[in-house]
Amino acid sequence: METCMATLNDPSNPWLKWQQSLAQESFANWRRMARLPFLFQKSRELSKGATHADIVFQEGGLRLLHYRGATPARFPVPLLFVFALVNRPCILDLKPGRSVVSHFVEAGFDTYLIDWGSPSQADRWRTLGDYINGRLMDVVEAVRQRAHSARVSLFGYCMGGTMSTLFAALHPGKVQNLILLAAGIDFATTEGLLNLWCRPEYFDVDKFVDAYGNCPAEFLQASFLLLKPVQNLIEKPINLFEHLEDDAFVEDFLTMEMWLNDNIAVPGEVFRTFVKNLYQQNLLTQNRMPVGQDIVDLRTIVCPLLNIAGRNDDLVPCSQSLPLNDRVSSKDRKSIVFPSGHIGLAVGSKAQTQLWPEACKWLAERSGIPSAGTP
Amino acid sequence: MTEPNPSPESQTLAFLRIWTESFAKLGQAAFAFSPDAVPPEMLRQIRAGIFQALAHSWDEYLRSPQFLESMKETMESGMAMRTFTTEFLSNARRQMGGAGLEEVDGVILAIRELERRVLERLNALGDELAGISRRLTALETALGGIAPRSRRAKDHARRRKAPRKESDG
Repeated sequence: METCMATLNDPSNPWLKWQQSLAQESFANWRRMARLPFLFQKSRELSKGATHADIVFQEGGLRLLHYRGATPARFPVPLLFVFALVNRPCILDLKPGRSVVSHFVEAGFDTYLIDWGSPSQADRWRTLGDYINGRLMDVVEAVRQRAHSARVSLFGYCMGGTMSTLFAALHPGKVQNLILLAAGIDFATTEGLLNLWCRPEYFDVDKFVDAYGNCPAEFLQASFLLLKPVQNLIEKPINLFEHLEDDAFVEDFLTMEMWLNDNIAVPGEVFRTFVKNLYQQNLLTQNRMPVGQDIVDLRTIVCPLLNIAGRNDDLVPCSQSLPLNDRVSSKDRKSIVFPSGHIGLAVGSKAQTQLWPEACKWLAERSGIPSAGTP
Repeated sequence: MTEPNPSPESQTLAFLRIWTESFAKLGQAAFAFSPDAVPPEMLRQIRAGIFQALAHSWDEYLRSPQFLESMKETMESGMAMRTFTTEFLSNARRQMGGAGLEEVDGVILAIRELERRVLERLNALGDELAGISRRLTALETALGGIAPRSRRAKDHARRRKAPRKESDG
């Protein structure tokens, strides 16, 4: 009996530790559940954006944002961020400490960002050529005139990276530098699930666009969720529940979820072109991709190129991004494979401290002589 | 060798297989721990192992021909339903004297064609102007000694901007 009591009362007894831990975890769960009702209130208090911006150009639903830093821009060549058509671009300037844009603004670049807006059903007939040679060209011209610069540096993320590549190939005289972040170029790989799901034997994109017009935002949302169903539908909510008492974590989580769930529709003809010409036929790397009246030839890209890919990116695998470096004529080209996923490349804490300072340095060396006052 | 058109039975079997494989892996992960480890951390490791096994199984299933075929069939049904609904509503609107989707699309396409023709004409005019400007510059240079029009214009503008010098005395 005495021996039994001594064993039970021994603090190093593993079974006692188990009981203590389980009791602590139970109380913690009760505390977390008590915080659940405040999630709604917290989600309404979220603020978007970290860097002050002015709208300096509009065309239909498109807006061109110009970011202002604490000090005037030092480099003569302006920088234009081109994001994808499938989500809002605020991921690039999500919140303080999670902003790609703020790195470049603080480094002294005259920074702009395109907000493509949300297409209506009337936009279903807009083609990729309309976007590249029309809207993107208009924006580039507006930036060139405002910055009094003959060329601009383009920064393309995801689908925006593909579009930036097409623009740089069609209008090489207007692009000073090209930075690509997880840009889809070579779609021959089946590493990513999207490449498999888009195969013509499984996905009739013509019938889809004819039926729906614009590609619905809900369809894109469901597709992205299904890329990692366990992580998105099981692990993520559990992770949130376990960190409900951590205000900073909850704010980061809700900010990210707000962006992730804010998909926008893709114009039908653009979607058709992307799926058919890129995912299914992979015309870009064959230099047979039609855009408007032209055929894109990647060999016409001669500007300095920085190609960044995420090692753990399931949406745009490395094998889809990196082949561009072998197909351009640029003498100055560099690729970075960063240990991150698709979104983490922009907002991950490691990317904020390691990747973006390096990218700023790369661009600074290729953006002309900075103005007086440079330290 | 994958089946070209998997039957519903094989689709069901493939779906069940991922669950049986997942449970087998769950069992392996559940028993792969040391009882001396700290309880909460150990449970989290077990859970992480379980989720990893589940994610791997799901990834395999999402790449399987069975899933791809069922995805295709689901989408075909959705598209057929959408097409039927759109046509029905368009006919209903037309019957009630309103404009259907086809009419609206027709107007938009007509505007796009107009836009295309206008832009083509503008581009052609721009090319003509550029050609004329080039020929003019070449002509002025060929006349010998006469500054090209652009340089004369710049000189004139510079003279207008420069302040007048006041005479001394």
